[in-house]
Amino acid sequence: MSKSLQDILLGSVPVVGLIWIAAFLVFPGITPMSPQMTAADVASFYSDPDNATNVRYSMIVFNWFEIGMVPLYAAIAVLMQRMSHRSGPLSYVYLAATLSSACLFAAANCFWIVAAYRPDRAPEAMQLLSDLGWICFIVPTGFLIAQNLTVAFAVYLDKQVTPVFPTWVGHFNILAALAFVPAAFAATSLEGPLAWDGALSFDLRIWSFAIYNLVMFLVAWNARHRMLEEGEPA
Amino acid sequence: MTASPPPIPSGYLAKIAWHWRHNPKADLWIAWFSIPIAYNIMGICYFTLTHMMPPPTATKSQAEVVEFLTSFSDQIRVGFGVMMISLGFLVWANGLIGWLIMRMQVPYAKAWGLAYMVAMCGGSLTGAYMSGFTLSLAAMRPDRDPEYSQLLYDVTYLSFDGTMGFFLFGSLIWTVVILTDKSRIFPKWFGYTCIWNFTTEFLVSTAMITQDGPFAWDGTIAFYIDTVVYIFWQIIYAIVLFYAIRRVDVPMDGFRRARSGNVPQAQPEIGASLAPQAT
Repeated sequence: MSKSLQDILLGSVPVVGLIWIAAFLVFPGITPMSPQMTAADVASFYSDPDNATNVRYSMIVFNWFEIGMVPLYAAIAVLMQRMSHRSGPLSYVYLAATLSSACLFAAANCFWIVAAYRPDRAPEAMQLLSDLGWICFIVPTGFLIAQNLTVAFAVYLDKQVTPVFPTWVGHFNILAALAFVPAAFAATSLEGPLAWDGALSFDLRIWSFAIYNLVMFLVAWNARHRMLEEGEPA
Repeated sequence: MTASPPPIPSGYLAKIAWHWRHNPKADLWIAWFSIPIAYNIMGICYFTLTHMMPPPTATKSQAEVVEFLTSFSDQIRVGFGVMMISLGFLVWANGLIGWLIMRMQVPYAKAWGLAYMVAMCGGSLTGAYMSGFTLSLAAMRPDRDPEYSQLLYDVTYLSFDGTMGFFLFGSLIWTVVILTDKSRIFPKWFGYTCIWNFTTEFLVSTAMITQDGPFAWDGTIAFYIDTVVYIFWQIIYAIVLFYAIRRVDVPMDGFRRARSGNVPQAQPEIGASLAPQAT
Protein backbone atom coordinates (compact mmCIF):
# COMPACT_ATOMS: atom_id res chain seq x y z
CA MET A 1 0.00 0.00 0.00
CA SER A 2 1.32 3.42 -0.86
CA LYS A 3 2.48 5.59 2.02
CA SER A 4 0.01 8.40 1.41
CA LEU A 5 -2.99 6.04 1.46
CA GLN A 6 -2.07 4.95 4.97
CA ASP A 7 -2.72 8.43 6.31
CA ILE A 8 -6.10 9.18 4.74
CA LEU A 9 -8.16 8.19 7.78
CA LEU A 10 -6.33 10.22 10.40
CA GLY A 11 -5.32 12.87 7.85
CA SER A 12 -8.99 13.73 7.35
CA VAL A 13 -9.31 14.76 11.00
CA PRO A 14 -7.50 18.16 10.92
CA VAL A 15 -9.27 19.03 7.65
CA VAL A 16 -12.66 18.37 9.24
CA GLY A 17 -11.47 20.20 12.36
CA LEU A 18 -10.70 23.36 10.37
CA ILE A 19 -14.06 23.20 8.59
CA TRP A 20 -15.77 22.80 11.98
CA ILE A 21 -13.98 25.84 13.35
CA ALA A 22 -14.91 27.93 10.31
CA ALA A 23 -18.58 26.89 10.50
CA PHE A 24 -18.64 27.33 14.27
CA LEU A 25 -17.35 30.89 14.01
CA VAL A 26 -20.23 31.77 11.68
CA PHE A 27 -22.84 30.27 14.04
CA PRO A 28 -23.10 29.76 17.01
CA GLY A 29 -19.55 30.68 17.95
CA ILE A 30 -19.02 34.44 17.88
CA THR A 31 -22.21 35.51 19.63
CA PRO A 32 -23.89 32.61 21.40
CA MET A 33 -27.56 33.39 21.95
CA SER A 34 -28.35 34.17 25.57
CA PRO A 35 -31.01 32.00 27.25
CA GLN A 36 -32.36 35.27 28.67
CA MET A 37 -33.55 36.42 25.23
CA THR A 38 -37.33 36.75 25.15
CA ALA A 39 -39.40 34.86 22.59
CA ALA A 40 -39.72 38.08 20.58
CA ASP A 41 -35.93 38.58 20.64
CA VAL A 42 -35.35 35.04 19.42
CA ALA A 43 -37.90 35.45 16.63
CA SER A 44 -36.31 38.72 15.49
CA PHE A 45 -32.85 37.13 15.62
CA TYR A 46 -33.88 34.48 13.10
CA SER A 47 -35.90 37.00 11.05
CA ASP A 48 -32.83 39.17 10.53
CA PRO A 49 -31.66 38.13 7.03
CA ASP A 50 -27.98 38.29 8.05
CA ASN A 51 -28.46 35.97 11.02
CA ALA A 52 -30.73 33.62 9.07
CA THR A 53 -28.11 33.35 6.33
CA ASN A 54 -25.35 32.65 8.86
CA VAL A 55 -27.39 29.98 10.63
CA ARG A 56 -28.39 28.30 7.37
CA TYR A 57 -24.96 28.15 5.79
CA SER A 58 -23.18 27.20 8.98
CA MET A 59 -25.70 24.43 9.65
CA ILE A 60 -25.47 23.12 6.09
CA VAL A 61 -21.68 22.83 6.48
CA PHE A 62 -22.07 21.21 9.91
CA ASN A 63 -24.62 18.83 8.48
CA TRP A 64 -22.09 17.70 5.88
CA PHE A 65 -19.25 17.25 8.32
CA GLU A 66 -20.88 16.53 11.68
CA ILE A 67 -19.84 12.88 11.71
CA GLY A 68 -16.32 13.76 10.54
CA MET A 69 -14.58 13.40 13.91
CA VAL A 70 -15.52 9.72 14.11
CA PRO A 71 -12.40 8.53 12.22
CA LEU A 72 -10.31 9.92 15.09
CA TYR A 73 -12.30 7.98 17.68
CA ALA A 74 -12.21 4.84 15.54
CA ALA A 75 -8.43 5.18 15.25
CA ILE A 76 -8.14 5.58 19.03
CA ALA A 77 -10.30 2.45 19.51
CA VAL A 78 -7.99 0.50 17.21
CA LEU A 79 -4.93 1.82 19.05
CA MET A 80 -6.53 0.67 22.31
CA GLN A 81 -6.54 -2.82 20.81
CA ARG A 82 -2.74 -2.57 20.65
CA MET A 83 -2.45 -1.90 24.38
CA SER A 84 -1.22 -4.63 26.72
CA HIS A 85 -4.84 -5.44 27.71
CA ARG A 86 -5.70 -5.82 24.02
CA SER A 87 -7.95 -8.85 24.43
CA GLY A 88 -10.13 -7.09 27.02
CA PRO A 89 -13.28 -5.03 26.52
CA LEU A 90 -12.03 -1.43 26.91
CA SER A 91 -11.82 -0.63 23.20
CA TYR A 92 -15.44 -1.78 22.76
CA VAL A 93 -16.48 0.18 25.83
CA TYR A 94 -14.85 3.23 24.22
CA LEU A 95 -16.58 2.59 20.91
CA ALA A 96 -19.93 2.25 22.68
CA ALA A 97 -19.37 5.65 24.30
CA THR A 98 -18.55 7.35 20.98
CA LEU A 99 -21.58 5.99 19.15
CA SER A 100 -24.14 8.45 20.48
CA SER A 101 -22.33 11.81 20.74
CA ALA A 102 -22.44 12.70 17.05
CA CYS A 103 -26.16 11.96 16.79
CA LEU A 104 -27.01 14.63 19.38
CA PHE A 105 -24.98 17.19 17.49
CA ALA A 106 -27.08 16.24 14.46
CA ALA A 107 -30.24 16.89 16.48
CA ALA A 108 -29.06 20.40 17.44
CA ASN A 109 -28.22 21.05 13.81
CA CYS A 110 -31.69 19.96 12.73
CA PHE A 111 -33.52 22.19 15.26
CA TRP A 112 -31.53 25.27 14.24
CA ILE A 113 -32.13 24.60 10.55
CA VAL A 114 -35.87 24.34 11.19
CA ALA A 115 -35.80 27.58 13.19
CA ALA A 116 -34.10 29.45 10.35
CA TYR A 117 -36.32 27.82 7.73
CA ARG A 118 -39.56 29.68 8.59
CA PRO A 119 -38.65 32.60 10.84
CA ASP A 120 -42.19 34.00 10.57
CA ARG A 121 -43.48 31.24 12.85
CA ALA A 122 -44.99 32.29 16.20
CA PRO A 123 -42.24 33.70 18.47
CA GLU A 124 -42.96 31.08 21.14
CA ALA A 125 -42.36 28.30 18.59
CA MET A 126 -39.15 29.99 17.43
CA GLN A 127 -37.92 30.14 21.01
CA LEU A 128 -38.76 26.48 21.55
CA LEU A 129 -36.85 25.37 18.43
CA SER A 130 -33.90 27.55 19.31
CA ASP A 131 -33.88 26.25 22.92
CA LEU A 132 -33.97 22.65 21.69
CA GLY A 133 -31.00 23.35 19.41
CA TRP A 134 -29.00 24.94 22.22
CA ILE A 135 -29.68 22.26 24.78
CA CYS A 136 -28.81 19.45 22.34
CA PHE A 137 -25.61 21.30 21.47
CA ILE A 138 -24.30 22.15 24.95
CA VAL A 139 -25.70 19.69 27.50
CA PRO A 140 -24.91 16.15 26.31
CA THR A 141 -21.39 15.74 27.68
CA GLY A 142 -21.95 12.45 29.54
CA PHE A 143 -20.76 10.35 26.63
CA LEU A 144 -17.68 12.54 26.15
CA ILE A 145 -16.83 12.15 29.83
CA ALA A 146 -17.26 8.37 29.61
CA GLN A 147 -15.09 8.37 26.47
CA ASN A 148 -12.32 10.33 28.23
CA LEU A 149 -12.33 8.18 31.34
CA THR A 150 -12.17 4.99 29.25
CA VAL A 151 -9.04 6.27 27.52
CA ALA A 152 -7.58 7.30 30.89
CA PHE A 153 -8.15 3.87 32.46
CA ALA A 154 -6.83 2.13 29.37
CA VAL A 155 -3.65 4.26 29.39
CA TYR A 156 -3.05 3.68 33.11
CA LEU A 157 -3.43 -0.09 32.73
CA ASP A 158 -1.24 -0.32 29.62
CA LYS A 159 2.05 -1.52 31.08
CA GLN A 160 4.34 -2.17 28.15
CA VAL A 161 7.97 -1.27 27.61
CA THR A 162 6.72 1.33 25.13
CA PRO A 163 3.07 1.96 25.99
CA VAL A 164 0.77 2.97 23.10
CA PHE A 165 0.07 6.37 24.70
CA PRO A 166 2.35 8.02 27.27
CA THR A 167 0.97 8.31 30.82
CA TRP A 168 0.29 12.05 30.53
CA VAL A 169 -2.41 11.25 27.96
CA GLY A 170 -4.27 9.51 30.79
CA HIS A 171 -3.99 12.59 33.04
CA PHE A 172 -5.01 14.80 30.12
CA ASN A 173 -8.16 12.73 29.56
CA ILE A 174 -9.15 13.02 33.24
CA LEU A 175 -8.68 16.79 33.01
CA ALA A 176 -10.81 16.95 29.85
CA ALA A 177 -13.53 14.87 31.56
CA LEU A 178 -13.63 17.36 34.45
CA ALA A 179 -13.84 20.29 32.03
CA PHE A 180 -16.98 18.77 30.44
CA VAL A 181 -18.85 18.39 33.75
CA PRO A 182 -20.34 21.93 34.15
CA ALA A 183 -21.93 21.91 30.68
CA ALA A 184 -24.23 19.06 31.76
CA PHE A 185 -25.86 21.53 34.16
CA ALA A 186 -26.42 24.25 31.55
CA ALA A 187 -30.20 23.99 31.89
CA THR A 188 -30.07 24.92 35.57
CA SER A 189 -29.57 28.66 35.06
CA LEU A 190 -30.49 31.37 32.59
CA GLU A 191 -27.52 33.58 33.43
CA GLY A 192 -23.98 33.39 34.78
CA PRO A 193 -21.20 30.93 34.00
CA LEU A 194 -23.48 27.86 33.93
CA ALA A 195 -25.97 29.26 31.42
CA TRP A 196 -25.50 27.86 27.92
CA ASP A 197 -23.71 31.01 26.76
CA GLY A 198 -21.67 31.19 29.99
CA ALA A 199 -17.96 30.79 30.65
CA LEU A 200 -18.22 27.24 32.04
CA SER A 201 -20.94 25.75 29.86
CA PHE A 202 -19.95 27.40 26.62
CA ASP A 203 -16.34 28.63 26.53
CA LEU A 204 -14.80 25.93 28.72
CA ARG A 205 -16.74 23.16 26.99
CA ILE A 206 -15.98 24.33 23.44
CA TRP A 207 -12.31 25.09 24.10
CA SER A 208 -11.78 21.79 25.92
CA PHE A 209 -13.43 19.91 23.09
CA ALA A 210 -11.27 21.64 20.47
CA ILE A 211 -8.02 21.20 22.41
CA TYR A 212 -8.95 17.64 23.33
CA ASN A 213 -9.47 16.62 19.71
CA LEU A 214 -6.29 18.37 18.61
CA VAL A 215 -4.14 16.72 21.28
CA MET A 216 -5.69 13.28 20.77
CA PHE A 217 -5.17 13.63 17.03
CA LEU A 218 -1.47 14.37 17.57
CA VAL A 219 -0.91 11.49 20.02
CA ALA A 220 -2.88 9.07 17.84
CA TRP A 221 -0.87 10.16 14.80
CA ASN A 222 2.41 9.68 16.66
CA ALA A 223 1.42 6.34 18.13
CA ARG A 224 0.36 5.00 14.75
CA HIS A 225 3.48 6.18 12.97
CA ARG A 226 5.73 4.79 15.69
CA MET A 227 4.00 1.44 15.28
CA LEU A 228 4.37 1.53 11.50
CA GLU A 229 8.09 2.22 11.90
CA GLU A 230 8.35 -0.71 14.30
CA GLY A 231 6.89 -2.89 11.56
CA GLU A 232 3.40 -3.47 12.94
CA PRO A 233 0.86 -4.27 10.22
CA ALA A 234 -0.87 -1.09 9.04
CA MET B 1 6.87 -11.14 35.73
CA THR B 2 5.04 -14.13 37.22
CA ALA B 3 6.22 -13.64 40.79
CA SER B 4 3.61 -14.74 43.29
CA PRO B 5 1.21 -12.02 44.34
CA PRO B 6 1.28 -10.04 47.53
CA PRO B 7 -1.63 -11.20 49.71
CA ILE B 8 -4.89 -9.30 49.31
CA PRO B 9 -4.90 -6.65 52.03
CA SER B 10 -7.87 -6.23 54.31
CA GLY B 11 -8.67 -2.50 54.10
CA TYR B 12 -11.37 -1.43 51.67
CA LEU B 13 -9.23 1.06 49.77
CA ALA B 14 -6.18 -1.21 49.94
CA LYS B 15 -8.25 -3.98 48.35
CA ILE B 16 -9.23 -1.70 45.48
CA ALA B 17 -5.57 -0.72 45.02
CA TRP B 18 -4.57 -4.38 45.02
CA HIS B 19 -7.09 -5.26 42.33
CA TRP B 20 -6.04 -2.24 40.26
CA ARG B 21 -2.42 -3.41 40.35
CA HIS B 22 -2.71 -7.21 40.31
CA ASN B 23 -6.14 -8.40 39.15
CA PRO B 24 -5.79 -9.97 35.68
CA LYS B 25 -9.33 -8.87 34.86
CA ALA B 26 -9.02 -5.29 36.14
CA ASP B 27 -10.19 -3.85 32.80
CA LEU B 28 -13.38 -5.95 32.92
CA TRP B 29 -14.11 -4.95 36.50
CA ILE B 30 -13.71 -1.25 35.72
CA ALA B 31 -16.40 -1.62 33.08
CA TRP B 32 -18.61 -3.68 35.42
CA PHE B 33 -18.50 -1.17 38.25
CA SER B 34 -20.18 1.42 36.06
CA ILE B 35 -23.36 -0.67 36.33
CA PRO B 36 -24.08 -0.52 40.09
CA ILE B 37 -22.78 3.05 40.34
CA ALA B 38 -24.44 4.62 37.28
CA TYR B 39 -27.74 2.73 37.62
CA ASN B 40 -28.05 3.77 41.25
CA ILE B 41 -27.29 7.42 40.53
CA MET B 42 -29.76 7.37 37.64
CA GLY B 43 -32.38 5.55 39.68
CA ILE B 44 -32.11 8.08 42.49
CA CYS B 45 -32.37 10.99 40.04
CA TYR B 46 -35.35 9.43 38.27
CA PHE B 47 -37.28 8.67 41.45
CA THR B 48 -36.45 11.65 43.65
CA LEU B 49 -35.53 14.62 41.46
CA THR B 50 -36.66 14.50 37.88
CA HIS B 51 -40.18 13.09 38.40
CA MET B 52 -39.71 10.61 35.57
CA MET B 53 -40.54 7.71 37.87
CA PRO B 54 -43.30 7.31 38.85
CA PRO B 55 -44.48 9.63 36.07
CA PRO B 56 -47.20 12.23 36.65
CA THR B 57 -50.48 11.57 34.95
CA ALA B 58 -50.94 12.10 31.22
CA THR B 59 -54.35 13.68 31.84
CA LYS B 60 -52.96 16.88 33.36
CA SER B 61 -54.48 20.02 31.85
CA GLN B 62 -52.17 22.67 30.44
CA ALA B 63 -52.54 24.71 33.65
CA GLU B 64 -51.64 21.65 35.75
CA VAL B 65 -48.59 20.95 33.60
CA VAL B 66 -47.42 24.54 34.16
CA GLU B 67 -48.02 24.18 37.90
CA PHE B 68 -46.06 20.89 37.93
CA LEU B 69 -43.15 22.48 36.05
CA THR B 70 -43.14 25.57 38.26
CA SER B 71 -43.11 23.69 41.54
CA PHE B 72 -40.43 21.16 40.57
CA SER B 73 -38.36 23.35 38.24
CA ASP B 74 -35.08 23.26 40.19
CA GLN B 75 -35.30 19.58 41.13
CA ILE B 76 -35.96 18.55 37.55
CA ARG B 77 -33.07 20.58 36.12
CA VAL B 78 -30.47 19.57 38.70
CA GLY B 79 -31.62 15.94 38.50
CA PHE B 80 -31.17 15.86 34.75
CA GLY B 81 -27.75 17.51 35.05
CA VAL B 82 -26.54 14.68 37.26
CA MET B 83 -28.24 12.15 35.02
CA MET B 84 -26.61 13.55 31.86
CA ILE B 85 -23.23 12.70 33.34
CA SER B 86 -24.07 9.26 34.70
CA LEU B 87 -25.70 8.34 31.40
CA GLY B 88 -22.38 7.96 29.61
CA PHE B 89 -21.35 5.24 32.01
CA LEU B 90 -24.42 3.14 31.29
CA VAL B 91 -23.03 2.81 27.82
CA TRP B 92 -19.93 1.17 29.29
CA ALA B 93 -22.15 -1.72 30.31
CA ASN B 94 -23.24 -2.09 26.68
CA GLY B 95 -19.60 -2.29 25.57
CA LEU B 96 -18.82 -4.86 28.26
CA ILE B 97 -21.85 -7.01 27.44
CA GLY B 98 -21.15 -6.75 23.72
CA TRP B 99 -17.62 -7.93 24.39
CA LEU B 100 -18.83 -10.83 26.58
CA ILE B 101 -21.21 -11.91 23.80
CA MET B 102 -18.23 -11.94 21.42
CA ARG B 103 -16.52 -14.43 23.76
CA MET B 104 -19.46 -16.86 23.61
CA GLN B 105 -19.43 -20.03 21.58
CA VAL B 106 -22.13 -18.98 19.15
CA PRO B 107 -21.83 -18.75 15.36
CA TYR B 108 -21.06 -15.11 14.41
CA ALA B 109 -20.47 -14.28 18.08
CA LYS B 110 -18.63 -11.10 17.12
CA ALA B 111 -21.52 -9.84 14.97
CA TRP B 112 -24.04 -10.62 17.73
CA GLY B 113 -21.92 -8.67 20.19
CA LEU B 114 -21.64 -5.64 17.90
CA ALA B 115 -25.37 -5.80 17.14
CA TYR B 116 -26.14 -5.75 20.86
CA MET B 117 -23.82 -2.81 21.45
CA VAL B 118 -25.26 -0.68 18.66
CA ALA B 119 -28.88 -1.54 19.49
CA MET B 120 -28.52 -0.65 23.15
CA CYS B 121 -26.49 2.54 22.64
CA GLY B 122 -29.27 3.91 20.46
CA GLY B 123 -31.75 3.46 23.31
CA SER B 124 -30.04 6.08 25.43
CA LEU B 125 -30.71 8.75 22.79
CA THR B 126 -34.50 8.74 22.90
CA GLY B 127 -35.03 7.14 26.28
CA ALA B 128 -32.71 9.22 28.38
CA TYR B 129 -31.27 12.16 26.47
CA MET B 130 -34.34 13.33 24.58
CA SER B 131 -36.64 13.05 27.58
CA GLY B 132 -34.02 14.84 29.70
CA PHE B 133 -33.69 17.70 27.23
CA THR B 134 -37.39 18.29 26.80
CA LEU B 135 -38.34 18.17 30.49
CA SER B 136 -35.40 20.38 31.54
CA LEU B 137 -36.33 22.88 28.82
CA ALA B 138 -39.94 22.85 29.98
CA ALA B 139 -38.82 23.34 33.59
CA MET B 140 -36.35 26.04 32.59
CA ARG B 141 -39.11 28.30 31.28
CA PRO B 142 -42.34 27.40 33.07
CA ASP B 143 -43.72 30.74 31.82
CA ARG B 144 -43.63 29.47 28.24
CA ASP B 145 -46.95 29.31 26.33
CA PRO B 146 -48.75 26.47 28.19
CA GLU B 147 -49.50 24.76 24.91
CA TYR B 148 -45.78 24.34 24.25
CA SER B 149 -45.12 23.30 27.84
CA GLN B 150 -47.64 20.53 27.39
CA LEU B 151 -46.01 19.59 24.09
CA LEU B 152 -42.63 19.24 25.83
CA TYR B 153 -44.29 17.31 28.65
CA ASP B 154 -45.78 14.83 26.18
CA VAL B 155 -42.52 14.48 24.25
CA THR B 156 -40.72 13.75 27.53
CA TYR B 157 -42.85 10.87 28.72
CA LEU B 158 -43.54 9.41 25.29
CA SER B 159 -39.90 9.45 24.23
CA PHE B 160 -39.02 7.96 27.62
CA ASP B 161 -41.27 5.05 26.71
CA GLY B 162 -40.16 5.22 23.09
CA THR B 163 -37.10 3.05 23.59
CA MET B 164 -39.15 -0.08 23.07
CA GLY B 165 -37.38 -1.24 19.95
CA PHE B 166 -33.86 -0.76 21.30
CA PHE B 167 -34.50 -2.75 24.45
CA LEU B 168 -36.63 -5.27 22.59
CA PHE B 169 -33.82 -6.07 20.18
CA GLY B 170 -31.15 -5.87 22.87
CA SER B 171 -32.99 -8.38 25.05
CA LEU B 172 -33.86 -10.51 22.05
CA ILE B 173 -30.21 -10.71 21.01
CA TRP B 174 -29.26 -11.58 24.57
CA THR B 175 -31.95 -14.28 24.75
CA VAL B 176 -30.84 -15.91 21.50
CA VAL B 177 -27.12 -15.92 22.28
CA ILE B 178 -27.50 -17.12 25.87
CA LEU B 179 -29.84 -19.96 24.92
CA THR B 180 -27.61 -21.12 22.06
CA ASP B 181 -24.24 -20.52 23.73
CA LYS B 182 -22.11 -23.58 24.43
CA SER B 183 -19.63 -21.88 26.73
CA ARG B 184 -22.16 -21.14 29.49
CA ILE B 185 -20.74 -17.72 30.31
CA PHE B 186 -24.29 -16.80 31.34
CA PRO B 187 -26.63 -19.36 32.95
CA LYS B 188 -29.47 -20.59 30.74
CA TRP B 189 -32.16 -19.46 33.22
CA PHE B 190 -30.97 -15.90 32.72
CA GLY B 191 -31.72 -16.28 29.02
CA TYR B 192 -35.33 -17.03 29.95
CA THR B 193 -35.54 -13.96 32.17
CA CYS B 194 -34.47 -11.88 29.16
CA ILE B 195 -37.68 -13.09 27.52
CA TRP B 196 -39.80 -11.43 30.20
CA ASN B 197 -37.81 -8.30 29.85
CA PHE B 198 -38.54 -8.03 26.15
CA THR B 199 -42.22 -8.89 26.56
CA THR B 200 -42.54 -5.84 28.85
CA GLU B 201 -41.65 -3.71 25.84
CA PHE B 202 -44.96 -4.79 24.29
CA LEU B 203 -46.80 -3.79 27.47
CA VAL B 204 -45.46 -0.23 27.20
CA SER B 205 -46.77 0.28 23.68
CA THR B 206 -50.29 1.07 24.89
CA ALA B 207 -48.95 4.24 26.52
CA MET B 208 -48.65 5.71 23.02
CA ILE B 209 -52.44 5.44 22.58
CA THR B 210 -54.17 5.80 25.95
CA GLN B 211 -54.06 8.82 28.23
CA ASP B 212 -55.84 7.32 31.21
CA GLY B 213 -56.18 4.03 33.07
CA PRO B 214 -53.83 1.07 33.54
CA PHE B 215 -52.45 1.28 30.00
CA ALA B 216 -51.43 4.97 30.12
CA TRP B 217 -47.79 5.98 30.70
CA ASP B 218 -48.45 6.21 34.45
CA GLY B 219 -50.75 3.18 34.53
CA THR B 220 -50.51 -0.01 36.56
CA ILE B 221 -49.66 -2.14 33.56
CA ALA B 222 -47.70 0.15 31.29
CA PHE B 223 -45.65 1.69 34.11
CA TYR B 224 -45.74 -0.23 37.41
CA ILE B 225 -45.66 -3.84 36.21
CA ASP B 226 -43.21 -2.93 33.51
CA THR B 227 -40.88 -1.07 35.86
CA VAL B 228 -40.97 -3.73 38.58
CA VAL B 229 -40.04 -6.40 36.06
CA TYR B 230 -37.34 -4.20 34.56
CA ILE B 231 -35.74 -3.25 37.89
CA PHE B 232 -35.84 -6.83 39.14
CA TRP B 233 -34.28 -7.98 35.88
CA GLN B 234 -31.66 -5.22 36.14
CA ILE B 235 -30.56 -6.46 39.56
CA ILE B 236 -30.30 -10.04 38.31
CA TYR B 237 -28.38 -8.75 35.27
CA ALA B 238 -25.75 -7.01 37.40
CA ILE B 239 -25.24 -10.14 39.52
CA VAL B 240 -25.13 -12.48 36.53
CA LEU B 241 -22.61 -10.20 34.82
CA PHE B 242 -20.45 -10.27 37.93
CA TYR B 243 -20.24 -14.06 37.75
CA ALA B 244 -19.85 -14.00 33.96
CA ILE B 245 -16.73 -11.87 34.33
CA ARG B 246 -15.30 -14.32 36.85
CA ARG B 247 -16.09 -17.22 34.52
CA VAL B 248 -15.13 -15.81 31.11
CA ASP B 249 -11.99 -16.94 29.30
CA VAL B 250 -9.81 -14.01 28.38
CA PRO B 251 -7.04 -14.79 25.92
CA MET B 252 -3.56 -14.27 27.36
CA ASP B 253 -2.20 -10.89 26.37
CA GLY B 254 0.73 -9.00 27.85
CA PHE B 255 -1.46 -7.52 30.57
CA ARG B 256 -2.85 -10.83 31.76
CA ARG B 257 0.44 -12.69 31.34
CA ALA B 258 2.15 -10.17 33.61
CA ARG B 259 -0.60 -10.54 36.19
CA SER B 260 -1.32 -14.27 35.90
CA GLY B 261 1.10 -15.08 38.70
CA ASN B 262 -1.03 -12.85 40.82
CA VAL B 263 -4.31 -14.74 40.77
CA PRO B 264 -5.88 -14.87 44.21
CA GLN B 265 -6.35 -18.39 45.53
CA ALA B 266 -9.91 -17.54 46.53
CA GLN B 267 -10.94 -17.30 42.88
CA PRO B 268 -9.73 -20.49 41.25
CA GLU B 269 -12.04 -20.05 38.25
CA ILE B 270 -10.10 -16.98 37.18
CA GLY B 271 -6.88 -18.90 37.32
CA ALA B 272 -8.43 -21.79 35.39
CA SER B 273 -9.65 -19.45 32.71
CA LEU B 274 -6.23 -17.97 32.20
CA ALA B 275 -4.69 -21.05 30.65
CA PRO B 276 -2.72 -19.83 27.62
CA GLN B 277 -4.69 -19.92 24.42
CA ALA B 278 -4.00 -19.05 20.83
CA THR B 279 -5.09 -15.45 20.38
